Amino acid sequence: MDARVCSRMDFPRRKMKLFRTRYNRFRRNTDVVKVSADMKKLSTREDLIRESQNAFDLMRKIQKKESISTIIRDDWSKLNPDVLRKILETLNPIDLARAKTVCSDWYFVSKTCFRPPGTSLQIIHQGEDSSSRQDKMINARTKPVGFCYKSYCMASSGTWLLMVDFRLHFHLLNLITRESIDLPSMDSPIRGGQVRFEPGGQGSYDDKCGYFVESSGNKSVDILPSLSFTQIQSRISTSRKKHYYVKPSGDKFHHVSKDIVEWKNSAVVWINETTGDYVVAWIFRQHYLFSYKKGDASWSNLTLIKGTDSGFLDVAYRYDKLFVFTTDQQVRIFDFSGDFPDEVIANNPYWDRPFGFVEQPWEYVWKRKICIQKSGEVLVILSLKEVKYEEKLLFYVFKLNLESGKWERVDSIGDDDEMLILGHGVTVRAPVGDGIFKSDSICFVEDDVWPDQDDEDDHHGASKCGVFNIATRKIEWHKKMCFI
Amino acid sequence: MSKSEKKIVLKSLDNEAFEVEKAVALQSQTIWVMCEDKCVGNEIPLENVTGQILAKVIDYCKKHAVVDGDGDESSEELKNWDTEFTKNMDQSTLFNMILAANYLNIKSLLNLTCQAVADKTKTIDEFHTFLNIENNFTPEEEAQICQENLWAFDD
Repeated sequence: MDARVCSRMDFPRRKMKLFRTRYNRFRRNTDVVKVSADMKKLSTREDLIRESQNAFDLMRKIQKKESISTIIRDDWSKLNPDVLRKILETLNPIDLARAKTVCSDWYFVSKTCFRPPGTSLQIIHQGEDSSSRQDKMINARTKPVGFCYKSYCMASSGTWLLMVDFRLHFHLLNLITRESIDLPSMDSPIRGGQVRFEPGGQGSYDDKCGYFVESSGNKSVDILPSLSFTQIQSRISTSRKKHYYVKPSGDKFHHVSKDIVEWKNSAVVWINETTGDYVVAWIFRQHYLFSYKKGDASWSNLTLIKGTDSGFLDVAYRYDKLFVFTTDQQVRIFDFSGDFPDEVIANNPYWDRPFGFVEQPWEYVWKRKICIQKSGEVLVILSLKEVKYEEKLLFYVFKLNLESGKWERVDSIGDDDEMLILGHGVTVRAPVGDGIFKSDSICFVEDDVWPDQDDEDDHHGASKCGVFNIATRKIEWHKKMCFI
Repeated sequence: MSKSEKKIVLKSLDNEAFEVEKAVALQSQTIWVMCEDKCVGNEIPLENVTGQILAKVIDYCKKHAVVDGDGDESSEELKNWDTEFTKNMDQSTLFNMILAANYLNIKSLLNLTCQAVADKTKTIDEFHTFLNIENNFTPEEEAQICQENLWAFDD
């Protein structure tokens, strides 16, 4: 219909135009309805009015009837950003990353999502359950950079993992960017100690494992099997399920006694994601302490100044200092600001202040760990089992009272909303919100607590990691994450 | 207070009227504000909600109104009820529930439904086909964003 017709019919032009656009839009939008009349063919005013009346009636009817259900269904992408953000915030990191790639609106809204600062990804290994997403996450992310069957994760810092294979080849691996940093081989001379590493041969799996050879004055030679062998053994013997590592193809380790668990290795990695500086330290069978700092030519073997008979239980790193918890219950410190990590004596507030915890008859300590708070204070964490009327898994946290020189048990980690991830070495800021991760809680994996003798297969009906609330002394196990 | 004052009539977009206890309706912040300001009579027209959805919303509010009165003891049961409530909703219902919860400003219902939709979504294709969203990235943008988020995709 053109303007001429309009004026001839004395139909208000503006109204007509408005009607026409609305009518056309309506026709475009509805494929459900067949509109009988074609606008262009209308000639009389009566026709037009009748038709328009019909069309509007129809439009109204349709809108009434189908309104939200059909028209808005096409509008998921145009969802109110606040609501969309709310949905996106409830997604797990993987789904969120997927949702981002759906369309541009979602992408931009996802950028504004609230993520609690300072919390790193929590990596949960779910053992053999191949349907679990977390396993896939690890596989999918790391396959291209050689997260192979023979290497496993020793420690983590933020998004970085310290990986090691059975030949003691270490590398750092970034889960997100898949960046990989190779650390020097242990085969090359190790600074500072009288120990060297003999890589194994190419033969059977047992032969492939290397040895540490100690040569003090060319006299005694002490041979110990290398890390991965025993560690893999111990992992198998603890839980009989795979986690942290994937069993090598030729496995021969079923008959290993449980006491090897006591020799479990401990490691720490610290990385500054801005400058790229990093420090790695690990304990081999409580016997050797090795460290590597970015820029060093080779690994260092750290030894204690006094009390060389004592072994190492756990390590933690913060502010250029490596804290070591020894088997004779001391906290020793190595300073990493210089060329070679030297032990600190004068400035060690823990010097000669042994951690003297005496177990009660009903208390059975499983593990001793240390952790450094934001304030720089060292916490000693005991994982234990209390056997009174029933068995109960507990964690005790101790802090040194500098005035009295005594280690005291505390009910709270600190004022700064800190929480603890066992094996992490430092406290982290607890996420805001009402999740189970909150301040004054300890996040652990199954290996950190006494194995459950009664239902080893059931695993608490949940996953292998839990959170211990220091104040209520209660453990909450994670829901098992199954997505498929 | 007479009996009629305790009741409120909610009228949906398609003119379905629901008579509910005031305590039930007041879980909606929107309705609460309306009542507080005395800008409505006993009948509240809800322009954005269909009768079908409103019925569900009212179900939810009724359940929660009762249990809140009972104290903590049945919170577990309430959780289960919530799960059942959203479990069998199809996408369209869920979507409209979210809109309704947002419009009526019922925080807990909004959280519940958002969580439910988050739990349901799976793959990009599902997002596109199931939810009917057009992929409006340019190929270059899409390639870049996919690259950024590559780790989230299985082979």
